[in-house]
Amino acid sequence: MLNFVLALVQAAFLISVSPLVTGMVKKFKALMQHRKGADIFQPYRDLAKLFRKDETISESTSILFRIIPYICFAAMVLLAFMVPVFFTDILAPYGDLITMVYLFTLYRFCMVLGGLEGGSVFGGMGSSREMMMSVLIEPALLLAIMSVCVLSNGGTSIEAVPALLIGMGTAAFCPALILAAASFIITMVAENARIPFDNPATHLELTMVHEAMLLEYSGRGLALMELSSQMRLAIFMTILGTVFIPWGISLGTEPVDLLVGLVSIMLKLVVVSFFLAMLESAISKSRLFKTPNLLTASFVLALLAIISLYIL
Amino acid sequence: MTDTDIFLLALLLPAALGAALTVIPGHTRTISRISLALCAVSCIVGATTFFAVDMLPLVGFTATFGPLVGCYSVSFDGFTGLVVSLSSIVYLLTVIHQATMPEKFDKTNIGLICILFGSCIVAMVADSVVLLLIGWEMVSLVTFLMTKGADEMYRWRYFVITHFGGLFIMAVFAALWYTSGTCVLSELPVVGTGMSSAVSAAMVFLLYIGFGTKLGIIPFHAWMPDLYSSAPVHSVTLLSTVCSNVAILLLVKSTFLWIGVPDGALVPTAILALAALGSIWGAMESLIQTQPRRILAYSSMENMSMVLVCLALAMLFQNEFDKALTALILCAGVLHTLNHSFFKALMLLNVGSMERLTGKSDIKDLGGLALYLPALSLFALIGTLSMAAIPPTNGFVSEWLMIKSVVSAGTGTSALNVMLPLVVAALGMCGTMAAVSYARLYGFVFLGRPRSENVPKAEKMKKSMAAPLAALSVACLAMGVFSVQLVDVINEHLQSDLGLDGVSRTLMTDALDPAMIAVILVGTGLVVYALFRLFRKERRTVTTWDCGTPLNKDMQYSSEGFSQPLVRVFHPFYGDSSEIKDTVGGTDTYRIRFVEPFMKYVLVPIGRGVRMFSLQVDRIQNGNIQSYLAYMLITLLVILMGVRILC
Repeated sequence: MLNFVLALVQAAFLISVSPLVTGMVKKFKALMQHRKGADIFQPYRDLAKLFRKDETISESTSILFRIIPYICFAAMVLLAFMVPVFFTDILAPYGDLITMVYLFTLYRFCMVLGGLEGGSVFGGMGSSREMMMSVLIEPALLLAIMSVCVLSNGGTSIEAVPALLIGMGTAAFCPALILAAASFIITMVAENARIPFDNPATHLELTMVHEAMLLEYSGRGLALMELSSQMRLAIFMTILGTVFIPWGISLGTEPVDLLVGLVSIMLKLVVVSFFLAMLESAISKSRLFKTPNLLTASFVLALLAIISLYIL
Repeated sequence: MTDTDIFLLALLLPAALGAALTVIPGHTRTISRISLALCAVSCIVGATTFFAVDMLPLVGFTATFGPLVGCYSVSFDGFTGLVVSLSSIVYLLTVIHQATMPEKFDKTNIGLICILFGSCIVAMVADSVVLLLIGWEMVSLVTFLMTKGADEMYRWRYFVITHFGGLFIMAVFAALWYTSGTCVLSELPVVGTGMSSAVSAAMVFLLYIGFGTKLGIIPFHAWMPDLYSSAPVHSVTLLSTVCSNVAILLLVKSTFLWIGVPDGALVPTAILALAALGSIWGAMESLIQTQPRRILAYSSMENMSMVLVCLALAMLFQNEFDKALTALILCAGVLHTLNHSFFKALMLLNVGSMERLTGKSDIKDLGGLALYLPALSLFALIGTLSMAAIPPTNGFVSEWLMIKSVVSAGTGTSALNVMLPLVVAALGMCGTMAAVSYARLYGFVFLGRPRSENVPKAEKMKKSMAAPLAALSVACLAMGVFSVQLVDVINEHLQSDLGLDGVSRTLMTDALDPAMIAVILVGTGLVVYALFRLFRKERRTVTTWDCGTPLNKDMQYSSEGFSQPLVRVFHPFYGDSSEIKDTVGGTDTYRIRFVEPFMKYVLVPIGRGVRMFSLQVDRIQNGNIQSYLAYMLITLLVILMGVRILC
């Protein structure tokens, strides 16, 4: 019962801090560019505003267009239930790490169909580019996950991996984990449409991937899509912080451990947000047809990670 | 008469009667309807096979049919029964769909559909070499005849390629009969094949190539896209679904039951490499096709190659890795075959209905159908999601099982471990590429704005036509949501009928529960929807954002443009392209056509070589009686010398 309550609390925590994470990245970025920037709670206000607004919908869209925000949001909620945050027991142990990759695919697939609804050129362009990247992202993601699974030798379940990695002690700090984490970070940047793959701050034709697909959404539909995409970023960061770098997570229900777990995941989120902001301030958006090179690098890193397990 | 005789009669007699009826001249519609109904009766009986196997003690039954060469016995086991039942359901729904298009009735074709059902059943349940070969040859021949209407060259290409494979299959089973001394297949595990391990490995390889020609193994896939795009849609559906099931069932039974898993890693690795390449190739080529049917053709190739990857891995796991994983990956393969037959039937029949209702078959003339044919587009969406392996549909579960078993094998300590990440990468890549391709298929046919006048003028779909599609859609969802139970059944029969070590249920049921995933997804969506309904906001309908310029039908993304970034990334693999200029109504349009490299660089040169060789042979046919007498003399001398040396 206690475990269930704690799992519920951590899922609620993850869902509720997702806009905050986005706000944090924006704030860090602003500070690095010597701007004052918006408050870190601004994303909450934006969402609240969007939820209160009326919707306009294109006449050439089918009912699918209106359902897609619900599906995307549901997929992200399910993922939030499936990911350990500060505590290794989870609310929905109905899928493993591989299922997680497929849930991200569900999200992406629906978003792409949403982009094609309405028949606007922008939507088509965004969908097309998103799909190009996804082909290179997904194998890398699968390989990174495979290397963690093989390293921890505990199957593919999400809640077992952190405990096993911690149990390995210093042996877990091997090239495989470092390479896999590096590959996962590149994947995270690409999946979440951040610089250098995409620029989340603009609506320019040249940079648009993710934003282009959302162009036809407004009001509540847009709010759900925005919230889902913020949740996606937070979930990716959490996976990085609990599956690839699990140290700090609470393995039991001791209050002290839980507190340590909570503090450590918050620290990890802050550090990763800072890193993202730094990355986005330091480099510029790369040309669309240069991004495959970076994604291939991510793929190769993940491949090396797993092969290093076999040959070292 | 035993129970089995009665069952066999009930299974085959109606279809045979249906076929016989079509010989009667005239009364096309009435006779076609009666024939299809009789075929449907057979299908319904076929669908009960799985339960009949359990209830009537049919297992291991042998019926001998006569004093002709060899014996003609059939045997039902649970595993075969499962495949027969699910294939029969697909067959039934295809037949029903066909019955809703009376204007396309062709008596010969309908007779052939009846015969094909019998042939597929015979090939699946055959327990003797002779019956199996007859069944398989009938399947090849009847499907060839059923493609009437397609371009003659495409049909003959199919005929030649599948019969080339058929030769391999015949050779393998003949050799098996010769060396083991028995033509009853179920006796083989007891008697032994009597082959050395090298020979039996070679036999297995030949068998995969043989059946692979039908499944579209690289480079024998060249017949698929052209035939799929021009043959009658119901023939294509049966060819792509039920016939593939037959081929995979026979492959599984021959590898794991009759011949045995070959020793060593060479043959499985070779098959694995071919199949993995094929799956990526299928996915890549499907990205550049501009007709829904051609996309589905390459999708068949991709899916069947994935199944062959599973079978090859199962062989490897049996020899080199954990044996418990053999059943898991084999489960994945069998499940994917069955799933494929459902979602592919759904999509092909869907495309058939769509072509019938709109009169267009090219993506460039479609678009925005979701607004005009909502039911059809819903079924298509379910099919697309299944094909793209989106949770919790059935396609997802089988792909998940594949990746899960490969990742699980990764913790072993085999020298071949290094290969596994490449397999995962290949599966992941072809899965995603295929998903892109199906997003494109759905997005550009059903979403967006209409690209031609035919779309708004599309006929409404009749309820009778929608029924089989609805049934297939429900099946696709149910097979995903209740896949745990389905996998248990397959697993149980792999153990009892093929004698494999079973999978511990924890591997599957602890790691994935698609039913709960579906419940949470739908539940969350409904909760949010309910909240939104509670605090209602106004919704206005406007035109798509057009930047101030009213949009015409061409001012939207095209399907070619959609896949262009990927084509650019993978351009070295796409081979030669040519630009085609059309002048339609005074405006020039440019299109790019890609040449299938395997066609241009492998099959066409082979064809040219054969032709040149025949021309050379032709030169000795000079029509001169003296020359022919000389040939006879030379032949006689050679034979006599040969006999003298050998004996």
